Amino acid sequence: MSNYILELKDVVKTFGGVTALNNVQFQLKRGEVHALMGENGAGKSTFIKVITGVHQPDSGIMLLEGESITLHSTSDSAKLGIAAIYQHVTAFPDLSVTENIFMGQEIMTPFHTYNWTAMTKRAKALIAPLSQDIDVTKPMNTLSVAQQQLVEIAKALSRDARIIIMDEPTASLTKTECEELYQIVERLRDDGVSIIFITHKFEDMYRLATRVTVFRDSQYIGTWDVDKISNSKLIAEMVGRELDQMYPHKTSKIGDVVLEVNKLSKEGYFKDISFKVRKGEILALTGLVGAGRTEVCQTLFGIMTADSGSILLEGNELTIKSPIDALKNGIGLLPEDRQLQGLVCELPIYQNVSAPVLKNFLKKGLLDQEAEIANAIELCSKIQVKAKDIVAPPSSLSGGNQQKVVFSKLLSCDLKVLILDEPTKGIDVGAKYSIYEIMNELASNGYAIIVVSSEMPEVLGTADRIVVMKSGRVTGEFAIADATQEKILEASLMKHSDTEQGA
Amino acid sequence: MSNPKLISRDLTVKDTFKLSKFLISWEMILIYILLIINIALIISQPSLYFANGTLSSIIQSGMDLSFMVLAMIFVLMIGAIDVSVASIMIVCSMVTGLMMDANFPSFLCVICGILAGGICGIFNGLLIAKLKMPAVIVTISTSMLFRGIVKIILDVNVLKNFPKFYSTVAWENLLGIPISLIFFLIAATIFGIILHHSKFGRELYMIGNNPTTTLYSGINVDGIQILVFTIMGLMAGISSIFFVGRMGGGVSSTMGTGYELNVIAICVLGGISTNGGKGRVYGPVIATLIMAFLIYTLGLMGVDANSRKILIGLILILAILIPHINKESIKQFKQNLSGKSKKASVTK
Amino acid sequence: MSKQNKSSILYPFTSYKQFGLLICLGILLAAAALLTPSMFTLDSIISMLRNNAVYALLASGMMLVILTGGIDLSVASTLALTGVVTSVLMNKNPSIPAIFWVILAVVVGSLCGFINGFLVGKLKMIPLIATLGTMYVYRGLAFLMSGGNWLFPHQFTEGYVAFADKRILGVHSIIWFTVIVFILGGIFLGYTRPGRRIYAIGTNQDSAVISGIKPANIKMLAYSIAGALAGLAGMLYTANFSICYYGMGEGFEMQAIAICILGGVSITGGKGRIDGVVIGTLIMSIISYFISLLPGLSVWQDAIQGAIIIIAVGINIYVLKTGEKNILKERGKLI
Repeated sequence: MSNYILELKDVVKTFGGVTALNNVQFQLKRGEVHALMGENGAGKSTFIKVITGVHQPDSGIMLLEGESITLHSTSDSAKLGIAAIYQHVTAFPDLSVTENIFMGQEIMTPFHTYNWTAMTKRAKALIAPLSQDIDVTKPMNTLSVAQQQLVEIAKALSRDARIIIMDEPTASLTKTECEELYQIVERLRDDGVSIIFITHKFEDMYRLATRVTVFRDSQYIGTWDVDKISNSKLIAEMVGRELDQMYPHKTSKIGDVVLEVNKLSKEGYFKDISFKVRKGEILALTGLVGAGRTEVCQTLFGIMTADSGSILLEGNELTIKSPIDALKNGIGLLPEDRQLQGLVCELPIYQNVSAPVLKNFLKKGLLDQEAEIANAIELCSKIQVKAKDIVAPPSSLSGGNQQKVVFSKLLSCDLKVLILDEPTKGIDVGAKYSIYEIMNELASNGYAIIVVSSEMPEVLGTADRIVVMKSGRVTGEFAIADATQEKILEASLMKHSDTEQGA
Repeated sequence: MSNPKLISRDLTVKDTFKLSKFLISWEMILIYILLIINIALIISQPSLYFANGTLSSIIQSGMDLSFMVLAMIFVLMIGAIDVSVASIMIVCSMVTGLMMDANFPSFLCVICGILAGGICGIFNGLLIAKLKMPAVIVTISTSMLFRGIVKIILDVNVLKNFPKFYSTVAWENLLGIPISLIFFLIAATIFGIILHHSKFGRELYMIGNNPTTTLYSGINVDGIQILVFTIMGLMAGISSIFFVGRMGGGVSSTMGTGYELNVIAICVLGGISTNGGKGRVYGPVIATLIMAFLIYTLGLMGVDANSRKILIGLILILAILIPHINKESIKQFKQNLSGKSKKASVTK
Repeated sequence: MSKQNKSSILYPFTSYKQFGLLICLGILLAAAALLTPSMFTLDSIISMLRNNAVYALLASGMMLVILTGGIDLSVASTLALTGVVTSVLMNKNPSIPAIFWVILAVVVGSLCGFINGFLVGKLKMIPLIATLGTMYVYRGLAFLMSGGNWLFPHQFTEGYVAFADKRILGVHSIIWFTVIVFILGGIFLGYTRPGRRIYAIGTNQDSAVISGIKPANIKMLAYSIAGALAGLAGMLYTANFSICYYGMGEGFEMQAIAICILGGVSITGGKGRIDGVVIGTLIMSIISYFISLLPGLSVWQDAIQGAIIIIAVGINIYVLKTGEKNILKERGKLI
């Protein structure tokens, strides 16, 4: 007989040639909140998908209450009482809350038609203990993110879930919303539900979990009782080495202000954003996911246009209406999603590199491919892109090398300001170091760099100055010398209108 | 990552031309198909095939829509579609015909006809690029709108007054080669150079594969979309010259229905992906000839125009399915293999 | 805000999702009654409905397909094929009870639809291209079946014609068919599992897969139903006009799409209701009624319809955008 409600042994999952989970172990006790931590790309998401039956493991076994199970689809896991609440809510935006809760296990009348009355009643009963403000007949897309998560929890409960997996549920919640969620999770735990709580925030872990498991680089690192492991030991386990070794020494000299942002606002996204970046400086823009950092970057790059406020480059005011304007003025963006926004994955590397500057390669009106290739080889060799050759498509490269190709693309332009949106997202630890090196070298060469990052150690290890955002506002600015994890965390959870929020 | 042999820091191009790969490329397969049709014709109808003028008349029969095929390559390349081309072609014919009736100089009439096509194209392009309407819906409705305008103006009348050279370019040969074919090959060369060797062509491939990245690369995506639809309209205008020529110099509001589907079918057969971003110009060029030979051969065999539609429909579906099924079945095969190994490890 | 609205007497009307459309319909009706009082009689209304019943059937099927995020260009060809199949066979076997032909039409139609669904759902072809191809094929088959010949009124049996022409409570049975289809459609879309799943895959296919829904099966069902309705429409069309030839109904697919778009069915899928299609059909009917009244105007039909679709899609997109803007404004208040 097993002590554990869920146990995974030696689970391996590969995609193509890439190992996403390598001999992973996991043990979940009945009625515990078990924190699962690790950096982005450590394999947590794949792990959830294996538990919920979205992916089938290549090898290894999964035991539910001591019995071996195989899951072929999400409906299998749902039948066994396993439910997942994903980070990006996966709902049906145009359908009502009721229908979202019951999709896949509807209550039917004897005539095999939907019993809307019964479903609405049950939905109300499920939602009531979680929140008073949700109208179950409204479409899902009228709710806030926090409310949508509550609906997902109600959905899990409606299926009598014994195991609930929560994937970074607090990532985009306010402090009060977090507290409400904590209480709900505690209540679920007391009712005997076992919860796997995936999080980046230590606060979540200390508040809720009794044990914590750490993944790193697709591997299982270890499981500890929360009260028996120190904060620094846990971080070391997560990142795999001591912090100061992870980041190269800075060599750049900081010069004059290059870019100045004044009271930039965009309705629904951010308000009154002001900061300055200097030549050779790396400015980190941090905060929680959904704080509006990406939107600020996209506005500087002309993907979105601001409602008010000004952008000054070397003292001159700019109007940026499109990426064409931004690039012309010397502002480049390394977008957050390199596969969707940074690269054309099917076209050869050299065509990606020269995409923004095609007109430089015109010879008698036609493209000079030899020159393009030579230029791309030069840039890519400089930052050590590893590939079969320069005509290989980026889809054949690893994440780190793909990101380097995007860097080469930016380097082919004549830029003054580089905006890097989560440059190390989903990149393995070794490759991260070389990305940091590239950032440092670029700063030394006189670029002004704005880097958006959610990873605290990365922010502290790379930046010269740190600007913290929360819910579309700047809530703190620190020079690297006086910045600490605690200060940044405090600023990123602070809410200037926390009092209003309660009303 | 997993295969160190493939990864290196030496980025110089290593792939050289491989004959075996070239011989099984889609374009070569199209050439084989074209050859097979020709051989079949030679064997079954030797006297007719070698008779004077047979070949050139077969080719001429397929040339009236060939100019729209070239522009449709661009439209499909950016992941869009234009089903209004036949209607635009009729609008262009009407403009030319009406101006001829009003005794304008013929070169002016032709140019205005082509420009009318350009205006229709700009209209499509603006709705699609600026208002972000789906290309299918826009062009379906503008095809009704454009043809509707022709119906309003012409009612049941037939325009008969067209420049003389219309029938010359559609029916005559130069040194034994159809004039329309010469024009088509010149146009195809220009389109090929644009698509494969110019900045604009590269941008089309980028938009077709990933419009977001293209936008992030500082390329004017909206502008290119509008331009592509404008070119489509202009080419429909040029097509109208050959179309009217082939129709014997008369135009009514109901002519050329269904041409848009032939044009799209030829492009798809030529290996242009309807998802955008894939294909080359010479595929559809060969496919245009294949279609001409096929329709002519079927006509010889006594198959009527309506039944030939079935064939076009099937070709459209099969041309998309064949590459797709190949990929899927290979994937399935691989999955079966890995499935077996998975079982083995579980039992262990 | 919304609570205040609820207390108003008019709330049941203003909260109705198709309120704007209903007003539009009301204005058109009033215009018809005022401008052409002598022509706008009960009889002319019934004949107007009778002429548009076929469009309504096609539009109901088209709506299901559009809800899944697809499109079906082959419905008009399906209509022609089934119409030809049933009337040619009826002409050869006049002794068979006419109800058999109705059933046959539905079967043939669903087969055509199923092929579309298979291409789109299982083989993952782009709906536009797949149905473009089958549109050719079905039309060609219709030609082969008919041998290129027409069937004229004297060749139709009485029982066959009665399925469209017979008056029940003063209303032609073809209209009753449409009413029944609308009611069944409403129940199907609102209260049955497959019906709701059509919405689910249209609004978010990935979530649907996570919820254990198989999009391929739902799509095959939607296209099959669309085909079945087109088949029924084909039989009724031939019965209604007592005429049959392979080229009939050309361009009807555009009519069906236009009605759906007018009725507020979102072209990106997931949004739209059967009552919208009902109102859309009525609006289209009145417009074509106007066109038919003014003798010189019949040539305007195509142009007007094309323009209406463009404008309807434009409004559709505008409404979506203002909706998004309002959400942003709401969110802006929290910042």
